[in-house]
Amino acid sequence: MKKIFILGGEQTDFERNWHKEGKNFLGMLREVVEDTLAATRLSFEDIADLNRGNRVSAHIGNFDGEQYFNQGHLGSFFTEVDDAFFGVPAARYEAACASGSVALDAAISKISSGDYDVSLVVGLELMKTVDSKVGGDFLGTAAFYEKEAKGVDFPFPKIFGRLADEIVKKYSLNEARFLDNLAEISCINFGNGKRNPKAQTRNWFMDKGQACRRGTDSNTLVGGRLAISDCSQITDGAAGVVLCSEKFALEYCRKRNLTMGRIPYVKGWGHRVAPVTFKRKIEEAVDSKYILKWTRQAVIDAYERASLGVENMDLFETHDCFTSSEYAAISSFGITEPGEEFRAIESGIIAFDGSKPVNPSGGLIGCGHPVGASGVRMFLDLYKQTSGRAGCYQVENAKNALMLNIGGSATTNYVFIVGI
Amino acid sequence: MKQIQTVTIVGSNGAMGSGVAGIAAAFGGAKIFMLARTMEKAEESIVTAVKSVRADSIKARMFAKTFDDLEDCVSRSDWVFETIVEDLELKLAINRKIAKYCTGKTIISTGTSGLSIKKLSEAFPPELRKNYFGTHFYNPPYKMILCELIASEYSDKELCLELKEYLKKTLLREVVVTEDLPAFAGNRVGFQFMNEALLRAQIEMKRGGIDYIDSLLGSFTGRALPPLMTVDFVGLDIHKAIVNNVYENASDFLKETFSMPRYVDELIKGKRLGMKSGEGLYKKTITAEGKKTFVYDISADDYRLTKTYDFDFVKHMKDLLRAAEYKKAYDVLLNSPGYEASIIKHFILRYVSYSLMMVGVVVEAKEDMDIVMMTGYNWAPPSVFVDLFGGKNKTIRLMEEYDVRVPDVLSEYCGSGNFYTLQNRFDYRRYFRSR
Repeated sequence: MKKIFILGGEQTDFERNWHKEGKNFLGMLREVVEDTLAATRLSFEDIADLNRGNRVSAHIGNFDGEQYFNQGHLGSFFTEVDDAFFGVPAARYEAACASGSVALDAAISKISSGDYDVSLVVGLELMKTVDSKVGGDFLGTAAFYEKEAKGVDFPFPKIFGRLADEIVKKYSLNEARFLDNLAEISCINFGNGKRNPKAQTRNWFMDKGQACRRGTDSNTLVGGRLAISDCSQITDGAAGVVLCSEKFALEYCRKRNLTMGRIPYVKGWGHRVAPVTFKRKIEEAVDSKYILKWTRQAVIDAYERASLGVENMDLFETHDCFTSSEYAAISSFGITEPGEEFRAIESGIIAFDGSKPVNPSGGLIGCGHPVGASGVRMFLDLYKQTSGRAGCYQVENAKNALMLNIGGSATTNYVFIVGI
Repeated sequence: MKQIQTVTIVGSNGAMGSGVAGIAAAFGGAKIFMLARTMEKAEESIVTAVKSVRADSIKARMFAKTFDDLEDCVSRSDWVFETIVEDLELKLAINRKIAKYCTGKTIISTGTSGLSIKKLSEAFPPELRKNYFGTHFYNPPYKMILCELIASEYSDKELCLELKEYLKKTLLREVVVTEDLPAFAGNRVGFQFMNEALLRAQIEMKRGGIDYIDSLLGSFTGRALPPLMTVDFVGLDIHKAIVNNVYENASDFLKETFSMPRYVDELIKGKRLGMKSGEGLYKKTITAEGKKTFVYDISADDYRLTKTYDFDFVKHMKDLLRAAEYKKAYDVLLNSPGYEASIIKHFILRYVSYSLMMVGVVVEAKEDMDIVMMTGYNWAPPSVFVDLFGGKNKTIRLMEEYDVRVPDVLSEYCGSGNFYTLQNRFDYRRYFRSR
């Protein structure tokens, strides 16, 4: 594949509650676009110049603007941020929690095909406009709503609780040990979030004792075996990145006296869609070693496209919407064999200072999960890590990094590998 | 870094006692002795502390005790945190008792919101005064992450650094070191603003008084709560104690703005102390039409329903803030010529001026004041208004126009770029609400 370079980006502070601030989605879009351009040292004039040559596009990943803030047609709103976007081809992309990744995929394809040289990609979700129960129902549309979510309070915790049940069953795991492993995953993510100045939970408290106290007043059960400490939280937030062609990257580096070899680029990707209902996923995977076989396949596709393997990866950003999804991801990445994920957790391999750190940013549990933004946020973190710009949560000598972003119950699976 | 394994909270049943106990048990993993007047109160304070950090796991590390257990608890503690009622004599008396049971290694600190650390430390024998500090946390500690750290002239400098590291790295506080001056940094600036707002409400009583001022200095001017609602939340009696302390003990060119307006004294006499007593500057009442908010009408000496004040320029500012157009919103304010706009400009300029006047006096750098007001008060950092007003020169001209003293930190500033320099760590935009 052609090399698609990443010039940088920015995310909003995921601790912010935009509803309390009285701000609308346009305010969020404005801030993330302005901050993303500032971080990449591009101006609105640059966008207008590029547009005169029809060299730039804009993409926004968003899951549920219609329900959360009563607004569709989000692609058109770049024009409200600045006149420089008048005429710029822009659109909104949706695949539930993987919406950000679809937007990235579209931008990568457009640059790869030679249609454009530069693409601005934003992921955005404003979720605190409604209470958690109503929000839970909205999120249910990421499943097969009529079959899996209609009339169900908080359908997704229940679905990922079932994933936990299926993992225990498929690999004949000791339940206590498995739940302890999930608590450890939670603690690692909360702990990592403390290093990230934009993480939603950076000032929250969580320890193993608390994560293990499932079913208590301060850690109520939310879906089967899973409790609050096993879940990512409702988050408002956006993230943006700028992607470009090799030709533009050369221009960009020349003008700014930068070294091309230090600009991260997309090395591989995978995109697989599994059967939509959780039941059919499990039925289909009964003969597979992997509980989420299409997640694993998306990872294999990305490794193959990049001509790299797990041994080359310095870190992972995964979709830990629940601890059970991170558990299953560990073997999907190839860190362990399926059914042996506990080895990576118990030995510290996935810890921040381990050999294969997972979610140095804090992930969805620690950093936050504004659903349509998460894919772009992960991608931004791969950029930060491989360009040495991750600050307090920098993984030393990170050269290659992989992200997994899922939509629904691991229905849409997106994987990107970024490196230098 | 200082190893603090055991902590005694003296006065655990207050909001700050239980709140600080919660973070010390949670982030610090420390064993906590919760000292209150009765076992019942101590036990209640454990429940409050657990709730404050939303974690049952800390409960096992907390032990209910009474003041009769002072000797046993203090002698086993690495840190003793006193947070009893804000009264110099009572604090001196408890300090004398604590002193009897400390070892030379015990750190002792007070949660006073503004009394002299030097005076309080003199209850200790000279060899223990070096271990005594002010650690002023903000309420509620789990959410408000500021801790002002105050040393006295007797304090051990090395120990002060160790305590700072502990507060910062272990308890995850934003630590700002302040001088031992009345009300320290946050309350000096915050209570100046709020008390001047109380005084101004009296001047503007015919225009509406309390809710009129709150409508002008609301969230769109960079704060979570309007100032007089904040006074009501803090409690009028507490407010009075803090401003009186500054009035009596600080030499300050704004001394008169720390004097209590008569109507507030009258409310205090009538036990209308604010939210905690059900009525104060405001009161909420259930009526036939549901819950209604009433406000104290200064001229009528009675409560009336709160009003909605409609000012076109305020509406315009809020609309712009809603779409995150901060600079444009403040351009609207600057270009609005009316009486109400001039009140807002006066208060913001005063806030910027007075905060920056504290630099070199109470805190070391302007960034310290920014951190204090953001993380202790949930208010926009004072420095950012200089940028929103168009930079140094324009702000100075405005200060001159509004007869607000120009601080040296501003007039002598010769940096390039934004005056507010902490944007990468603290996003100022969150403090400007469209409400």
